[in-house]
Amino acid sequence: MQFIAILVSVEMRDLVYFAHIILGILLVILPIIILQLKKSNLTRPLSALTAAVSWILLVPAGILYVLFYPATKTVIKAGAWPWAHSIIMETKEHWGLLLPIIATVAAILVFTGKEKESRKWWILLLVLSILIGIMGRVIKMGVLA
Amino acid sequence: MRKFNVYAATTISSWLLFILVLAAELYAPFKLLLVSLLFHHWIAKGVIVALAFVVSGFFLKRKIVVNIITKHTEEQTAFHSVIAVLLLILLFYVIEFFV
Repeated sequence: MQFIAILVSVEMRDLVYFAHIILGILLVILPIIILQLKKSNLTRPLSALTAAVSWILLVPAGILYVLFYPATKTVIKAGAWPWAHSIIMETKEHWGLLLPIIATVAAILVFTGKEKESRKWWILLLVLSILIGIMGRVIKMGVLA
Repeated sequence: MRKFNVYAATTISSWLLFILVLAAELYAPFKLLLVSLLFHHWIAKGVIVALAFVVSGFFLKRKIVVNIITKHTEEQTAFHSVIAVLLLILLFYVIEFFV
């Protein structure tokens, strides 16, 4: 019974992890597409989709961080790269809270006809999403270090 | 329907996030309060910041958040606030780790 519970837990963790990665990648791809579009009918729906993805991303991020990360944190802090948690993860978890706000601002600007003003917010979202992805990789390396 | 003051909402919610980060790290009882509110301090911070974004966006009048000293526009203030908060959060955790 305990084995099944562990198996379900591991499968759930993998599922949430993949969702987290896919939604995170979308927050890189979608701003790139939006920045390439000029006066297109697709800009508004894609902007709304990006803002929605940025909020939905908090769900797998929260599940991973609250339920599964504490064990990882213990390993990192006992290893050679304790800063991978103390600096990188602590920063990443709080930077992540600003992603939906930035995406929402950019989307609102698009919907209010301020496409030009929205560009730097999309660029900020893109850069921040990439940085957060890199930080995630560093944290994973911190587990093995 | 009220017009959503997107720049004021962004400025206020980003600085609020920084205040919450500082308060939770420097004053343990506040972190415990956040935990008691919503199970985990990160969830509590997220919910508070999201609520602040929505509430300040709908209830603050336009141009209430203006950097008078540097003569920034609302848009510049909001954008620079987000960048500043991102950098300050990183700086805070770097200092906390080494000091």
